[in-house]
Amino acid sequence: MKNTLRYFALILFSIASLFPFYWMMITALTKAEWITSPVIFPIPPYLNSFKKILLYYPYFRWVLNTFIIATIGTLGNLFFASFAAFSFGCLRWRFRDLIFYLLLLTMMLPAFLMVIPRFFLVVNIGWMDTYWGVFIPGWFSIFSVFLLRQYYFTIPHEILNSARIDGANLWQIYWRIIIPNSKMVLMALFVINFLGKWNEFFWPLLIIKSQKMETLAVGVAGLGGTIGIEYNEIMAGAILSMIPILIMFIFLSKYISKGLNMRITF
Amino acid sequence: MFKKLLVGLIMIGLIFGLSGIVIAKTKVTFLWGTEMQEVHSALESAFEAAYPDIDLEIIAKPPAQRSELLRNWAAAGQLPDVVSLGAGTVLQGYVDGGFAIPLDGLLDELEVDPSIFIDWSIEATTFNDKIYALPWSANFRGFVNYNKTIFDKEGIPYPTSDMTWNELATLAKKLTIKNDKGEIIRYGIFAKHPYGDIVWTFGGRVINEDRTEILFGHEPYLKAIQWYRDLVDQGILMSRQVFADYGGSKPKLFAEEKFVMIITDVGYGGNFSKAGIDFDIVPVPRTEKDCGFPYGFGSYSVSSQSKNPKEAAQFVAWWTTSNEAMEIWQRYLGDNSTPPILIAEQKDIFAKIAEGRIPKNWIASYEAAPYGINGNPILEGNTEIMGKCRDAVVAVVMGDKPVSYLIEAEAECQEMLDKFNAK
Amino acid sequence: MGIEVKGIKPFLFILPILIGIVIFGYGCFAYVVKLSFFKTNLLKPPEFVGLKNYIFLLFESKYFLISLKHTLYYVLWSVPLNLFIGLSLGFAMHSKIKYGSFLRFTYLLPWISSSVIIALIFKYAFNTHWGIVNWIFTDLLGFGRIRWFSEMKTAVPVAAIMGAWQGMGFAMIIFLGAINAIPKNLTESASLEGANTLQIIRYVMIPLIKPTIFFYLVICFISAFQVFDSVFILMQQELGICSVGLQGSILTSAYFTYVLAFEGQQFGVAAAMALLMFLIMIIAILIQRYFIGRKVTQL
Repeated sequence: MKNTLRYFALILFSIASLFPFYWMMITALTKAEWITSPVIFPIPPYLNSFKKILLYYPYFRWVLNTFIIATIGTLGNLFFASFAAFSFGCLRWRFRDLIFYLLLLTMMLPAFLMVIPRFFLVVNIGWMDTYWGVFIPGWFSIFSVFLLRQYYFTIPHEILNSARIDGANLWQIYWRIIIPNSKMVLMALFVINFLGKWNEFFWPLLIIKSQKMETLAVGVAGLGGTIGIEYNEIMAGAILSMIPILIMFIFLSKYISKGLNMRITF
Repeated sequence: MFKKLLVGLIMIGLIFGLSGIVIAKTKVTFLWGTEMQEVHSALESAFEAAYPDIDLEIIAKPPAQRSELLRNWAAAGQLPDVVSLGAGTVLQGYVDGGFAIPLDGLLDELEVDPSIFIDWSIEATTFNDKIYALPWSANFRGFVNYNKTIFDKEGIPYPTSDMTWNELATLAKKLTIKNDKGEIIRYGIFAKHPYGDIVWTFGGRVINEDRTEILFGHEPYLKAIQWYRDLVDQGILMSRQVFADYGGSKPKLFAEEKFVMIITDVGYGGNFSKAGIDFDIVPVPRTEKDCGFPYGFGSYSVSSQSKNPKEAAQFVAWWTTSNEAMEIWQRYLGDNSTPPILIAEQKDIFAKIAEGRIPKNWIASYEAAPYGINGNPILEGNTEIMGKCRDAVVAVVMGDKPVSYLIEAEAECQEMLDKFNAK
Repeated sequence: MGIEVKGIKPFLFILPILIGIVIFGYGCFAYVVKLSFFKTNLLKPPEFVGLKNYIFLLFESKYFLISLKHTLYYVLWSVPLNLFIGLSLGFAMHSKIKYGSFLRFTYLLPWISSSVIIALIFKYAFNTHWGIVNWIFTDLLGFGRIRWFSEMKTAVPVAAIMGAWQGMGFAMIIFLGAINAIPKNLTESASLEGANTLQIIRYVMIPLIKPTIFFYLVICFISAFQVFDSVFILMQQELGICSVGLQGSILTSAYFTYVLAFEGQQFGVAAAMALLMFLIMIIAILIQRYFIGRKVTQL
């Protein structure tokens, strides 16, 4: 009895999960911009939307830009986060918890209103319309720090203490013990952050001015002709923009669950 | 291993980041819309053929995003060299904020004579006796676009401009169809912006000429609103809620025959043709007080934050006066109902379209359309009085729910609303 | 636990993050705080108005309360939905199952979609006349035609469902991680003593993952409170990405702040609004921690 319930729920959830993608595909393959009556599959499939995006719009440039921004953004994020998490999670020092919780509080700041001062800041540094301007604010996220710290709690600290006794300094402990042991978590966080940066929309929209710097999200949002937004083009664009990460995802999704195998404690 | 990867990636990032700094020739950036995507490359090559030393870059953003982007860029000192805005109050706000430079000196240098433009167009881009922008592509509101196919199919004679408003209403009623469940499947008529399209042509006004008083409660205004309201209540005129429900795109709904006639501006013609509709236009009925049509048009200005004002002005002059530009535009939009270039030679064409009903004082005529040209007032400018209450009143009058804009002026607006509801 | 360290070394490790967050986080927040005492549209010089913005929001404008109401309604839909989905998927997937990795991949898939695109899809699917949802409800099943986005009661749940759909994978991962970390002997001994699966879940597993549940609740609450992207796209008219939205059906606080700032052109009032919401959120979380959290950290 329990098994059938379980399978039923799982199948229901997977249908719910896949349906919008299916819908995206149908819309992208339809000729008319609005489907006025439900269609199981458009026959014949209309491939022009895809062709248009690949040939007529700078699709590959978008992919390149987005890839650069996502990669460097994520790597930087993980780099700084693992440093900080090491300090918060493996070391004991005065003010440690106080500072950590103060930083944690920033998760609650009104994210989008702070876009304005951030924008002015980034522009004044001169990073408007550059890759730097897009990914540098993303390097400083307390969320990665939080998760990494959680993970570092689970590393047996006797190892650390004994390494200390053996004369290792903090930097060596970090590089030789912590990092090699946290490959899974780092992979998981890499995938999570990468996804976030890949699909990021509002921030690149502000910072990017010229067309050669556009990311996928910004580029796809701008698709459309005189009559208004062409749904089929946008859906085709969306599908095309998901393909690179889909590929990455197929290979890396197992790391996410393996990497986050931990209980959250305070 | 990780370290090397990291360093390598940072290097790639640096290379790409720095490559943005390299410039070949003088660059002029120009903000326009993605809806003209096809025209961009044609424009760029034509301009660069005419002026090989200048590199033109068109920044394409959808019109809906433009006002916010412009605001943020203006505040951060990053405006593009040339900005395309609606003339009139929108441009005035921009000028008041100090974001545009006067063009008189530059035009002299470039040997462009401003008097080649139609008088009512260059007037609108002149503030304090200085020309701040060059005008382009005029647009009149208050034209009935009707779907010829439906009229032919049902054997009804086309609307003419000698009709009265009541006759127009009756015609719309004839064209409204309901289905068995009583739901309306085809509306006779639709008007998205009743202010510019209906109120003014009824003789009503939003604010007075000195811009000191709001005229919401006056007679012609009320008559116009009543006409509009009656038709909505009878289910003949598509309300804005229904329009939003259907997706909110005029050309699409027109093509799908959700309404037979639409009162809108002339400039929409290109979009309607592209949607494949066989349509024609006729001015809305006259009233005793012959007030003509409110009109507006685009303007091209050079921003004060531009580093290459002369080249930017060159581009502005080229786009608003040259034959190549005109040709590209016409090739793209096909038969747009009004010519895009406002040179004095085109004056007669406009007079003909408007059947002679172009009012002399364009500023006054334009105040009747408080939405500005694209419905996106970018800068507050002088529209403070209107801006405060207009959307609240419009929303209430049209039966929508008022949401935004009711910030400071809630108390003031309430007074006005009470006065209106008391009638 | 951890290595006892004195002196400046720990600070060196956190220095980059500290500087970054101070500048991009608290620094920008300070700007917002300052802005809340002024009246400005960002292009003209700001005017100092003191507490006027706050007084306006709290006492003179009815929209503040409306916005709170909408936000609360959204949170009430979103958090339980997310929790339910997360726990169900977590428990259903934690033991070996046929096609397990394929299923897990499926649940993670919504995550890779951009919220802008998904919002467009949902907007389209729930469209009054053309949406598939109404096609099922009205044309097939014969209910009245529901105009989904016309009022809060119907529009907010749609937005909540959308958020829950996207967060499906994340919720599952968080709970899977916690459930998998439960020592097997505990569950085994419980089943040896005769408990069936549902009882094991209820009496053994859930108490053991309480901290994770609490953590997830807080995360959900924070993001529900601040939901913006999806509401923004759903409320836009004219199909454009930004345009004047005349519908007041979803006025959650972040979106309302946006409306105040970019459509009402009142950045000072928007800043005040954002601050008030921040305070409310902190108070709410503290209350949560006091009532639920205490029992949790005792574990």
